[in-house]
Amino acid sequence: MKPLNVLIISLLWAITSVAQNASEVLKKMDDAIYAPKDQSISIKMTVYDKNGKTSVREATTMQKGNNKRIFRFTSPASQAGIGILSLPDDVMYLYMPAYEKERRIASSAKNQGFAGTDFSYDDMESKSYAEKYDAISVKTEGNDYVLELKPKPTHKTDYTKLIITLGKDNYYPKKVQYFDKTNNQIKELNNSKIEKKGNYWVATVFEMKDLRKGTKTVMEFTSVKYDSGLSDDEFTVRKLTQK
Amino acid sequence: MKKFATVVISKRQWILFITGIFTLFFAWHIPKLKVNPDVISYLPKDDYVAMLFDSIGQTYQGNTTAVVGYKCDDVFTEKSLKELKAITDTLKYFPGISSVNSLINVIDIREEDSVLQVVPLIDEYNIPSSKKELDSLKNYVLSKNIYRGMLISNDAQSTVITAKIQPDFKIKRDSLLPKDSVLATYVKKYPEPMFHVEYNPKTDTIYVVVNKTIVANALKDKLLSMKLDAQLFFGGLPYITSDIGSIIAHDIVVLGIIAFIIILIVLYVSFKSWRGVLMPVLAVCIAIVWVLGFMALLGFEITMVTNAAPVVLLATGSAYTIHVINRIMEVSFIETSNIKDIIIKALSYVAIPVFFAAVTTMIGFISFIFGSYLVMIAQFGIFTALGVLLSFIIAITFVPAFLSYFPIKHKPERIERRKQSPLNIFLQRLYEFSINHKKSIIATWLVIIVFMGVGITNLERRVDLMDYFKENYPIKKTEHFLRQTFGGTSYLYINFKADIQQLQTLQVMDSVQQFLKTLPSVTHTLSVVDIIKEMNNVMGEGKKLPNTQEKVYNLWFLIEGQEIMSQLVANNNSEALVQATINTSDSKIMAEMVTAIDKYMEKYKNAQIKYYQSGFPSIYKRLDESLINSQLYSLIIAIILVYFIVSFILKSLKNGLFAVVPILATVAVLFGVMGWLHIPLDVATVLVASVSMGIGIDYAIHLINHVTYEQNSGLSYIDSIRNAVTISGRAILINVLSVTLGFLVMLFSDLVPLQRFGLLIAVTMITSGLTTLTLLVALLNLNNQKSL
Repeated sequence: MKPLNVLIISLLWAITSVAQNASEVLKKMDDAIYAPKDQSISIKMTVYDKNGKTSVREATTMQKGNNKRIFRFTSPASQAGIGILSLPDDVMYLYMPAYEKERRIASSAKNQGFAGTDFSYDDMESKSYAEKYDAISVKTEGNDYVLELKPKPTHKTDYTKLIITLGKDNYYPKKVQYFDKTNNQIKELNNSKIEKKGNYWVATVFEMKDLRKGTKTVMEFTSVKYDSGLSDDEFTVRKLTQK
Repeated sequence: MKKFATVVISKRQWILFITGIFTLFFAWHIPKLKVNPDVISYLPKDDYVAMLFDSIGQTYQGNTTAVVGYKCDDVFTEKSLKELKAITDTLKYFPGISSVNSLINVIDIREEDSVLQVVPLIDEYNIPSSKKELDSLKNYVLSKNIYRGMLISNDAQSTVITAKIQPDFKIKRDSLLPKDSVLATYVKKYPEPMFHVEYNPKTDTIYVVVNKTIVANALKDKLLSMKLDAQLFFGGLPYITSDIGSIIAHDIVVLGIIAFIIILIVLYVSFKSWRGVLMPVLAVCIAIVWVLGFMALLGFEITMVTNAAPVVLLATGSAYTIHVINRIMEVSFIETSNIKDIIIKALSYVAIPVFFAAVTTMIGFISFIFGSYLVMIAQFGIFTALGVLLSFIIAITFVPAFLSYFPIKHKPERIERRKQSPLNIFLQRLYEFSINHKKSIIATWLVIIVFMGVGITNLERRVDLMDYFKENYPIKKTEHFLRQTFGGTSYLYINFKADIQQLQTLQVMDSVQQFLKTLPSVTHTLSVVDIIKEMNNVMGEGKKLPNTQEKVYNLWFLIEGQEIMSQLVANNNSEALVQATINTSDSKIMAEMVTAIDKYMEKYKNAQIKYYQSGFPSIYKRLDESLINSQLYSLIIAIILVYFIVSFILKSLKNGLFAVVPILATVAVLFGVMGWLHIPLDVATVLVASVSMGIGIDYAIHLINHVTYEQNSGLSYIDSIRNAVTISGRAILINVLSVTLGFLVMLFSDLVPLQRFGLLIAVTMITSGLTTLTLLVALLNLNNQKSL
């Protein structure tokens, strides 16, 4: 390649990246997060109370795209077997092994904590950010973009603003700051061990801090498998009730 | 003593100058004084009951609840619900508030179109607006027992929003912050007066005190400024205590001034000279200024009890100056030498009895420090004792120094007139009567004491915060409304320590809740058990605890992380709270409740479940017990000490006994009157016995001391008694009159305990005066000896 072409291409690249607006960054971030066609993950969640005492929960989850997911607890023994099936259009089923029953549950209590962790149902949702938030602005800080999001009027949430720091290179979020109605930061998510596994960028450690309560939850992916060709049959009520 | 008196006169300029400087210095600090009406802080910090209450607050996001009543034509209209949402939101984000419960955000567990819902009762993002939706919501809410009568009134016209006020908390210093800017940074984050930030550089921790009553009041102002259509009521302990606080502040100013004026009038009538009037009041005012300034300087706060200190000082402290002036005037009637010599002579005599009077009064007050368990009563003891000491010092230094420049002038005819004055004639008659009817006087007093003794058996002790307010006081009406409609604004807590997820633990909690419901003053109970039962119900197994442990675990999964859970379960499910709403503030009923619960809990002693109870009933029971202890201990300590000191002063154990008799009679009359008039022992009235003892002993000392003085000057025993009654008796009577009238001012207080306090002090003043001038005189006459 001629040096001039290299220059032109670099210049064009520079211009487009400056012009790249917040919405595009948001979209690229969603694309990066939900790049895998499907994923099977083993999760370990360590909950720290305000005195630093810990308790551990473990689960497995399978996800297809960003709207089908089945989540099943494996430990502690008291919660083992409890499963949640999320389907498109906010349809959610809960399976309680002790009652040997599945129940459809409403998903409107999204602002409440998930299973005693610092992640809310909203935080755990696999919906893309762009479905729920509008990008307001983006700025560059070193090797990162800093993206400001506001909830869409249709999205019911206690958050009024999200500030996401993501890598310029991989568009994968490193940090999410959550703000409440008084514009105080109430939670902070720090993603670490961000690395490329196969074709995808992925973080395997997620630390969510609740700044008001002084508690935190560390969620760790202990094993991750991508694109194993999960069929839609895995995401049915029948599957949910099978153990 | 003559030497001392001479020094006072020779250094009089210095004395006036230094007194002036000190007074200005302390006066400058007084505006910093704060009022602390928080009842719980009256218990010592390391008190077991206070610590448990604090621990409830630390574990469950607060132990103090502000209750906001909302009243309109119908709560179930779009407008009202939107107002409720606005209130809920405002409170949720209000500084110092940890959690809010209202119709808008309460978690509702229900089944709708075969979908299990664990969601807020009303969707705050989608408030119903059509009549159909609103009616259906109304019917649903009124149909559920957990809402009706608890969150919504039966007529759906009122609802209640409760806001828990954050407990005091510790934070670790942000490590990026330089040490010298820590305090400034956190003060900015937690501004005064709602918060108070303390930084300990040694442990590197920041401690934030939440001023709960100030938070509650700021919240009230904020909600009122929203100009809602509905009527708002503010109830619960923060408002009760804050009202008590403002009444205290009001009383201290208004009643102080009125008492002041009354004492001035009585003194003018007695001394017929403005200087004679101003001196005692001025002297005691200086002492009060010093004490208050000192309190402010050391960071002490005015409580419901120390509030009475200035008035008590006005009463006790003025006596020392009255005796000094009375003596100076006596001397000046007889001698016509220059004023300095008159003062030196008077002071040489009067300094000693005034000193003893001050010491014994101080002992009366100091006995509060050792006898009392309650912090505020101990503080009252310290500061009144200090005030007495200062009043005494001022009376024997500043007063004579001042009078040496500005003597009290009296025309010669006044002396004659004074002898003819009604007061002197009265004292003369009283003396003759006491001499002539000594046996009947003693017999009469015996009858009175027996009659009062019967009254003592009726003596009640009960503290009811609501009784502190007069009937028409707004907070009393609000509390009445909230109790009638929502079952009350104060809470009893039972904290369980065990594996809360165990079915067995939940069953115990359930049975305790069932028991609590049988108690007459408990209106509602709430615990995680209720939530589990609701969940089990929607799972189709009825509104009861699940029948297997696994089911509990499954249900727990759904409720864990719900906001309400952090108010009911804590420490990784190792602690849980049963909360009962109570509709009483009567200490007696509450004490019975605490005992009944302890007794009920005994059967779970062997189970692997630990528990403790806390909340207002326990705090009140504790205050109640402490009151009796305070009273008994301080009284016994004081009487014993005073007896020995008086015996030492009078150099005779027998004469000491004489001096103590009027006090004992006065105490009997005091408690008798309280018994007969059904005035209970409470935080204010508990002080009266010791206060009256401190004052009463002064009279006896002055009288007995005067008798021995006259005898030493060569008068016969009988004549000595006569002079003592007519001369010292005069000062005593002036003191009785001025103090009695001064204290009766407290009858105009808005706080009932202060009214009773005033009345009882008046009763004891009159009784001590009368016992000294009749019973003691009769006893002295009956004394076969020819001299003391």
